[in-house]
Amino acid sequence: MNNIREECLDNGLKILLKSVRTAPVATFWVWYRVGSRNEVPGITGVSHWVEHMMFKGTPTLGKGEIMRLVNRNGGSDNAFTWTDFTAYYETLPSDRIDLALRIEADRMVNSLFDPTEVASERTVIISEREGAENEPRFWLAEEVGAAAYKVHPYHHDTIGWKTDLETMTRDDLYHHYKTFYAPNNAVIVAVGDFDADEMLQKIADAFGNLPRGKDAPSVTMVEPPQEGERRVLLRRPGATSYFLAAYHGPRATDPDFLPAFVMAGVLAGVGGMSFSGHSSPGRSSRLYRALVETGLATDVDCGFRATIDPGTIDLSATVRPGVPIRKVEAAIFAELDKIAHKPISESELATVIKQVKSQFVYATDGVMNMGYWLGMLEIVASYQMYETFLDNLMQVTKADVQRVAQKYLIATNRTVGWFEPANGKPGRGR
Amino acid sequence: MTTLPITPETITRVTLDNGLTILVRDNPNNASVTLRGRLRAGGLYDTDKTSGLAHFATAALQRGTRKRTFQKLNEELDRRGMSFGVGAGMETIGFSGKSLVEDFDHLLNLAADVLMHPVFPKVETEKLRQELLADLKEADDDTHHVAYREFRALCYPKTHPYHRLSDGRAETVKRLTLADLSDFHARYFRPDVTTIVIVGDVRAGDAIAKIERALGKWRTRGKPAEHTLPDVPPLKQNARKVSALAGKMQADLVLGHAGIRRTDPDYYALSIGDLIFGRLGLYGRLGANVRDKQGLAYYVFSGLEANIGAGPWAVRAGVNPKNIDRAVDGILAEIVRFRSEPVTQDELDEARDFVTGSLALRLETNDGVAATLGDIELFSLGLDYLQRYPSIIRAITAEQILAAVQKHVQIENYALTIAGPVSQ
Repeated sequence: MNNIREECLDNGLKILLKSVRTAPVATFWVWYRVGSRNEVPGITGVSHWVEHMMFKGTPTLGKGEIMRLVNRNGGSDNAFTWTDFTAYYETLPSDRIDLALRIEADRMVNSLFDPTEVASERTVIISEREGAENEPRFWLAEEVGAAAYKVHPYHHDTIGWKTDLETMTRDDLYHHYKTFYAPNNAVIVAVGDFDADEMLQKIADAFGNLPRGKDAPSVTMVEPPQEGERRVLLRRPGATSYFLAAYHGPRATDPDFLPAFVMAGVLAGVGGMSFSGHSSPGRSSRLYRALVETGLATDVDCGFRATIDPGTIDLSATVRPGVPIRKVEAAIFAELDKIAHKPISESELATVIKQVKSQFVYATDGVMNMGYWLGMLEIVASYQMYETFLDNLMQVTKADVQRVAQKYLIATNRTVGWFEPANGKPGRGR
Repeated sequence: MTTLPITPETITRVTLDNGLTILVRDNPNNASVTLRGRLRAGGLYDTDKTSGLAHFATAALQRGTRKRTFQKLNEELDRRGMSFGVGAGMETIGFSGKSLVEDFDHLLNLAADVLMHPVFPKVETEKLRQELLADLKEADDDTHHVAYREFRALCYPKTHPYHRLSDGRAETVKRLTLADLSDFHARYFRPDVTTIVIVGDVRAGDAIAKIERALGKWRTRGKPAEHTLPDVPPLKQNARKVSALAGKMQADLVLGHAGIRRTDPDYYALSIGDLIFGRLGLYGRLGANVRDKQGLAYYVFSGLEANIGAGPWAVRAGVNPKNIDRAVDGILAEIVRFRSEPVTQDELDEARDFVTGSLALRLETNDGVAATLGDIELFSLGLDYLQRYPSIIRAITAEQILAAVQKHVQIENYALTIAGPVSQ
């Protein structure tokens, strides 16, 4: 992945451009350095709600008009909020891409936050949360996250606590918007069928006059080291039991990140790295063999994301109906012990490298995926990580993997969560 | 290096001696190959007693073949960073795979082995049965799934395959035998009902020669089963079913009725109408009313499943239980308006511009091209379809849409199902 052009406007807006002239399509992204990581108690979920309000209009683009314009021009658009970022994109036929610049420059500073729109969106947001609450996995993840982080805002889910969604005010939302939405807190990523010089000029014309904002407040909370295993038990109606163990892991910029990434790959396979989530099944992975093939669980995964602050390495499983959770837990812990005590094999290392190599090729089929990867990595570390990812991955040794397994996968560093169906037979005990 | 538009000249289509149809589209811009295929077979051949057979038999193909155990097959895929999967829907059985160009031969070889030579090993197949039963148990606790399953049961008579979902029921899945599975494979997996689409950095001649080597010896006897679905009698009155699920916070609802086949002459008008009604932008008119104006739902949208058979036209929404009646009233009010007045010129222009303009986006990736070519083949649309498509869409008028809506969208005799924290 070469020929990425990096620029910065005087107002602090960072720009990453990649010209890809294989199809008459271009994608335009604005990434804001704000997410649930930047929220404080009382207004959790504010970043996500602000994202919804960004479709509700500016003085020049009425409510709903953004999507209408994008549709009229044969494009697609969306937005999403995560712990570390809020991202907006339009993908359009390349001769229509100017529309994206016009929309994003406008709503970066001019969104209205009309009080009646805030009021009707409140129930929509609560409905989004209640939809998630229909899933046992959501409850368990929220519960485990809250126990694993007592100080750092990774404590709460991006959707926010329900009581905050019920009480947050229009001014809370608007203040958050004005604090974090400014050129100097954003990254533009454009990928597709355009000339980079021309695109840069267009971006400068559209965004250059927007005023630099005050520096956004930095996140000062640091999660103290965990000094002992934490456990949560959730009992709600459900079809079966679910297991989740979260181990504090390295942040994206930590030298341990890639060895931990390989470790997760050996445990569960390299999942879909593309934005659209094309996934390899990972059925030859250690956890699949130990949990699914033995009939203890119906699925198992090891989730590990690139994050600004240290995130968690998440071991999760759907317990086969009738199987006691403790058996699943014991089997997962046994696999973690193995990877800490004995080096992985050459062929396991080679498999992970080959999987990543192919996922990178698959992810470059289509401009959207490239836009996603460049922006996401720039927020959590640097876009250059994309260019160096494979080379650096090939430097990872079996000893590195064992070292990070010994460092992170220890009992005192984990939070274990059990979801037990309350309508089934009462707790069979541990 | 710019991608050529997809014209008949840029697609190679051949049929082998054994009846297997192959479509190849060369894309030198990405060092990968996408393989996608379909068999004209699926859950439509299941009966009430064998519900879930196509789904189970197809999932079992990868549990072991003549040359590969389940474990060997998984290792081969992972070691090469490839993917391959096969699954049965109601109307078709689909398979798809992806590999780097350098591994294309391995992918084809593996795919051929899975399609032609599954052995249904006892131990692995029993494990799969337990996984499928666990999936069904989880689905029983899923409000989306329950609402939709009950909706299909209300809309379609018991004798129609669409009455059921293709994943079956626990009691039938428990009873299916290994012989049932291998019989299903022997009967319905045949080259003369199969299409394979290849899109990627391969030359058409090469790819076809390789497929012929891998799948040319695939033979079957007799004629394939008829691939049709019966007509659907309309409902004679409104039908409603409420399913109470404990511990849920939100109710999911489905409201609609049987729609039309993909071959129906009203297909284009109705599908543009449906786009305006409940999909365009943030869920079309439905979204503007029920989500945006009234704030009743995070999601509310409509969909037309026009397939080999007349799949449903339905509205789906997730709402707080105390808002169910208001949401249903809002949806019905929009249906009344949909049936009584033509769409505006603005709405029509937006919808037409969107579907014609967004073709470029849909055809940007290998996966997108492969999916589109697969549909062109399944519905016999012709290799020049993408050239004809914009004029088909531009010719649709508001009057045609209104006539199609009045004919096919009902404000009476619909089915409504609700699943969630509600009393029955």
